[in-house]
Amino acid sequence: MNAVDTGARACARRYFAALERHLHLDDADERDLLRELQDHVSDRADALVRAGVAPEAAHARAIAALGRPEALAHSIRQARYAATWREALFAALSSALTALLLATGLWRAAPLAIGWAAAVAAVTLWGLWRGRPAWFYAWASIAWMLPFVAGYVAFLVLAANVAHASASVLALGAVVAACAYFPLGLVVVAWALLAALRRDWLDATVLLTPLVPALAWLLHVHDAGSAASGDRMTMTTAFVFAGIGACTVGFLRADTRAARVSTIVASAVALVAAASMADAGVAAAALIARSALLIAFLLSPALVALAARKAASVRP
Amino acid sequence: MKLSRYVTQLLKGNTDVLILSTLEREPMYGHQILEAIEQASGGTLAISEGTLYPALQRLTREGRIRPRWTTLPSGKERKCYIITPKGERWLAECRSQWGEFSAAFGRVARGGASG
Repeated sequence: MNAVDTGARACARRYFAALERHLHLDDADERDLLRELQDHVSDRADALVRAGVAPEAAHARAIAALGRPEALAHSIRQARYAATWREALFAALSSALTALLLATGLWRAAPLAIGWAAAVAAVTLWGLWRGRPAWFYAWASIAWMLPFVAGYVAFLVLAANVAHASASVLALGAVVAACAYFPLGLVVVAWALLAALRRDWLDATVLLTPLVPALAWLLHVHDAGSAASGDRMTMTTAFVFAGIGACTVGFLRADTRAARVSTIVASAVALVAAASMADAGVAAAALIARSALLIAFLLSPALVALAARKAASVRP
Repeated sequence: MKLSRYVTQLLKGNTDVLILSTLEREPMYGHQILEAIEQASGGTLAISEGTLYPALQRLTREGRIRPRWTTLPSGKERKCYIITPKGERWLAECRSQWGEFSAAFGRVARGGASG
C-alpha cells in the first residue's frame, strides 16, 4: 500500500465516520447504506482514474461529490422519515384511541381494554417488523406503558388473593412474581429507550411523552381505589392524550429538526396548562415549574445522546 | 456543462421521474444511474450524489423501487434498484401530465397566449 492510497483511505474513513455519526438509522440499515456509498465512491474514483485523473485526486473528488456528511445524512434522514399526512394521522390514532377509551369509560370493560392493548402491541410489532417507520414511536410509546398497567393490575389481583387466602405458598408466589416482573419490565423499558436513543434522541422523547400523564392517572386510580368513568382526573388524562395526538401530527409533519424540538417544547407547555385546569387555584409559579420540569424530562434524551457522542469522540 | 439556475430548479423537481425512467430500462446501482442520466441527456442533466441517494431512499420508502444486492459479472456486489409496478404506474402518469404541461407551456412561452 503506497502513501497515496493510505491518504485516500484515511480521508474516506474520516468522511464515513462523520456520516455515520449523523445518520441515526437502525444498525442494519446504516451498515447497508454506508456500504452502498462506499461502493459508489469506489466506482466514481475508478471512472475518474480511467478518465486520466490521478488516483488520490480521483478518490478525493469522489468523496467531495457526496457533499458535506452532515448535509447528506440530513437529506437521507428526511427522505426516510419525513411523514406523510396519512402516516402522521395514523401515529396520532394511538393517543386518540387511548383518549376515547378513557373519556367514555370503556377502559373498564375488560374485553375492550384487552382488545385495545392487543391492537397497540400488534401495531407496534408490525412497525418494528417494517423497520420503525415514522408512525412507529407514537404507537410504541403507548405499547411500552402496557407492562406498567399490566404489572399494576397483576399487583392488585395478587394482593387481593393474598388477602383472602392465608396460603403462604400464594403469598410467596406473589412476592417472587413481583420481584421477577418489575426488574424484567424495567430491563425491557431501558432496552426500548436505548434502541430509540441509538437512532435519534427525538424518537426517545416521543417514547417518553405519554409516560407522565399515564403514571399520574395510575397513581390517581390507586389513591382513589378506582376511577369512576367521567371523573375529573380521568377526563383530564383523556384530554391530555387527545392533545398528545394533535402534537404528534405537528411533530411528524414538521420538516426540520428545530421545528420538531419547538413542537415538543410548545406541546409540553400547552399540555401542562391544560392538565392544570383540573387543579383549581394552581399558582402561575407552579405552572411554570411544572412546564419546566416536563420540558427537562422530555428533552433529557438529548443530554444522554450528547454524553454518548462525547464518549464516542474521546474513544480512540 | 454548467447548468443555469432555471434548469437546476427544473431538474430538482423531476429527479424522481429521471431516476424511474432510467430504471425502467434495467435495474441499476447508484453510480450507473448517474452515468445513464448524464449519457442519455448528452451531458446536459447531471444529478449530484447528494440528490440521488436521498431520492433513492424516498422512492424505496414509497414503494416505487426496491433495492436488491446483486453480484455483477465482475464479481463485485452492488445494490441495484428495480422499478416496481407502483413505480411504473406513477411514471406513466407523470409522463402523461408532463406531455400536457409542456404542450401548454410551449404554447404560452412561444407567445401563443398573446394572440
